[in-house]
Amino acid sequence: MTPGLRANGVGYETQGRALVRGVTLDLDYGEVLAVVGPNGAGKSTLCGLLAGDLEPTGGDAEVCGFPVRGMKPAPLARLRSMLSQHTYLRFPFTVREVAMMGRHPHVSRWRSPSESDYALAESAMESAQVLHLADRIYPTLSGGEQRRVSLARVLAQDTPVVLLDEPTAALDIGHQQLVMSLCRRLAADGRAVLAVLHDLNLAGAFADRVMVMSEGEVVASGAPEEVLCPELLSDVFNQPVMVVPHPQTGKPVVLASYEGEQADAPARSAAATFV
Amino acid sequence: MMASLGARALTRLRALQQVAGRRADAPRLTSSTLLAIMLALFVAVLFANVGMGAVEIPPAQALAVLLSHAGLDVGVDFDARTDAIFWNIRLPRVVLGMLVGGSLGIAGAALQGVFRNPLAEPAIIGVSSGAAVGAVGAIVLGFSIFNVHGVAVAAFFCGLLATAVVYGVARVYGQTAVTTLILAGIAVNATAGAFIGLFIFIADDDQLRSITFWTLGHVGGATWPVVVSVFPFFLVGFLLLPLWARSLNLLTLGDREARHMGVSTERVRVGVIVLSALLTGAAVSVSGIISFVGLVVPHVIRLTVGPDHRFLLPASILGGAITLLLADLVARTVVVPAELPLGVVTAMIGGPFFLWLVHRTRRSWGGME
Repeated sequence: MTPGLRANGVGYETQGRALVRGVTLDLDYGEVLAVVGPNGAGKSTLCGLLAGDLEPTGGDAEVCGFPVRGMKPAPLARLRSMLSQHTYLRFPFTVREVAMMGRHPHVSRWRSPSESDYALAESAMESAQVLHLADRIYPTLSGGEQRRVSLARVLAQDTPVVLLDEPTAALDIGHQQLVMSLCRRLAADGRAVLAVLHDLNLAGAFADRVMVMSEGEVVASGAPEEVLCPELLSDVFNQPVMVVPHPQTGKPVVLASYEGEQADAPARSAAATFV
Repeated sequence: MMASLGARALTRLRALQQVAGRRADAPRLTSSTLLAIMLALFVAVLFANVGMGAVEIPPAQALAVLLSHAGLDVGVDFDARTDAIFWNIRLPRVVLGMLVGGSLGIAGAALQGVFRNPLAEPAIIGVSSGAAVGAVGAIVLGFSIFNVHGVAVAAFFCGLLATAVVYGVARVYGQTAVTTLILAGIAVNATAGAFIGLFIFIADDDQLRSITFWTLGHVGGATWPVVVSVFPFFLVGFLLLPLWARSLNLLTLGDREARHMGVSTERVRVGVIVLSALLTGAAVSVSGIISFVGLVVPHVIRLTVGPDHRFLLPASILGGAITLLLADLVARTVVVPAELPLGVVTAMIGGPFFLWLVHRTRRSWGGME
């Protein structure tokens, strides 16, 4: 069976600089792949290449067995959805209207959205916990709320392949967990999910596989327990780290290591106030 | 001690959560309500425009004359003078005003969507003045003083060129920042102003008079042949632009996002810009520069029913027509027997109105950057 997402030696070069080099990956349906790495490692560029935003300067990418290169936007949008890092919207659309935009590739030009389109958008908003905001005006929402609305739009697109570029950025701990369990649910539905994550602990807790990128290349890929090892991470992030098992799940938890230096913990503040 | 602090914090949290649940934005009007209001306004303005002036024509007579030209006799008496004034002077002017206002309204709405920017307006970003350079150049260089098509074509291409320049300069990474857009518009307006100045310099007295007309805006010279000759341009724009309404909705999220959701962004963008330039060019070629209609009309509609282009685009045609007819009514009734230039009226009302609009809505836009 063809994998949901495949990259064969994909690379991207611009202005004489290689941002991504020779990335090869297979992502099966039902799998969550976390892409981690330091700032500027090429994670978002890779997302752009896989989503068809950028034309690779080397290799090629496939979505659901179809080459991404040269595919028209509309059929591509029925195969993969993508959550970008930043979305700006200056026009006063309501949350419900934004979520409905995700249905666009499934509604033909000459027809209005059907009942089932509205129902899908509704359940997408519910999953992203923005249903209570449905009639609010998008630009007036907080950053984290806007993020979840964008996620609802991506969910409403209802595609077999889902690419998420830092879906948990700007979210509080509760909503981070919500988004990551959503990733698991999408995979359980039989979708291929790729998520760029900065939080290694979320990657460790929720991903089937973790791919570590550095300087535009893949330096490691495998099960979280294998890939999230202190030696590799300390090297890649240029910061000593230690990895301990989570007390409840046993999944790897990555902490900054202060060995050999004075741990600069702040003195317990007696002035903590609760209003 | 700690436990009681925590408990108090928790109580306070619960109270805050209850308040937060009640937050809401200002309610919108439904689109059918606004449509009903606009249609009523439109009919009222229509009859006011054909009825008011040196010779008063009451609505019943106006209808009777109109129907008599369709071969129907409804039994309302009117004299030949009323017929002539209504049919040859007022009606072509009203129809031209509707077409010009409608085209400025929908072109403004569409450009705002495609630039992802509520400030894009034909006059502000230099499309109108670009088109005016074409029209004025055509007048002065004389390749078509009496042939409206020639002027319209020149206006269209110069308007398109101005749009392309502003768009190319202001777009960075698929976005147009407000500041760069305005700056590019200033530059294009200044350059266009220089060319218009140059043409004024070499123009003779007759040409000078028509140039002044162009730059101040007017629909007073409307005749049936003029209306008929530009009508196809307007029709094409009015019919085709709304086809991209849904794509424009998605484009407001950004180029990349729109493509992620299946929009062929480049095709939509080029199509919308070309059609907007066509509409603006056609409008400018017959009426000169009339500013603020394309800015204010879509804004008011967005404020009342929201930004969905499926409603916004057609409603902007109607809203633009109403606004222009109102302005023309003012232009030809406040300083009787003389007439104010139409562009002066729209700018004098539209400018302060827009200032108030910006002041009122600056927060709900989520900031201008």
